[in-house]
Amino acid sequence: MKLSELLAGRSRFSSKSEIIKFVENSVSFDQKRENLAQANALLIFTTSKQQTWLVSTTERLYCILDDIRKEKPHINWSISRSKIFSGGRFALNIQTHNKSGLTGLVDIGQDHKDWYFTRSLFSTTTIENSIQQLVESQMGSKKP
Amino acid sequence: MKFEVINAQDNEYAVVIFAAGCAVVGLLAVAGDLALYSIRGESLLGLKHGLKQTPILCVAWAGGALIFGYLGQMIHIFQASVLACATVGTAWPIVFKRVIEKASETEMEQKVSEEERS
Repeated sequence: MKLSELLAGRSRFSSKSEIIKFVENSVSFDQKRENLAQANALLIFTTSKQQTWLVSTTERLYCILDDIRKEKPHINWSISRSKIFSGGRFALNIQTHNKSGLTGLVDIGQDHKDWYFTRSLFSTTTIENSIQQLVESQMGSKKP
Repeated sequence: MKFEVINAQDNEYAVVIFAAGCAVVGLLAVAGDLALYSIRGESLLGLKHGLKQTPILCVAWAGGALIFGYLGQMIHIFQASVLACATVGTAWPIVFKRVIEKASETEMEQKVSEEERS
């Protein structure tokens, strides 16, 4: 790590609640329809410098990159509920690919491909199931 | 024979004792595997036993456990304990593979994209 990065960076990653709160910085965030107090987050990728979270509200699924070398987290993308559910059923295409022993690649929908995930975070269940559970727990009970 | 947890602070020979213990467990592991192979025709360690192969396997397995146990202690991968000794002695090729895999994997960098309004 460069000295400049050390000086510019943070000493720790943002907490789960801080990541959820950060969603309000999204260009797509709708304060009237999305309640962050009820949102949930799933950590999918972690290294010594980066963490990647998926945050689900009742309306959108957000992908947030937390890099401790940067001042604050970064919202990579978000997917609206209408693209996740079709006919009231979960229709988000999630596929994984091999990258290395410890890290895999996941495609989340048609537009968001090749995102790293840490295999050890999903030792008891698959990342596909974890994402589906995260989204359905937030959006599943609400009719489109 | 008295089994007890030793560490570098209490015993100046802790590392050597640990490494030797790993080698002994390695020998016992191959011997046990040979017994299983003789009785049931299968090897839990995935070894192919034979008159020539088994003595070589004993030396190689015990030697590998000795070296890996010694190096592992030197770089503090594990505590000097009977459990660690047994683990290294019986499964050092797997542990070794995992250590190399972990050490050689350069940290992946997640890409950054700009969120689009949708």
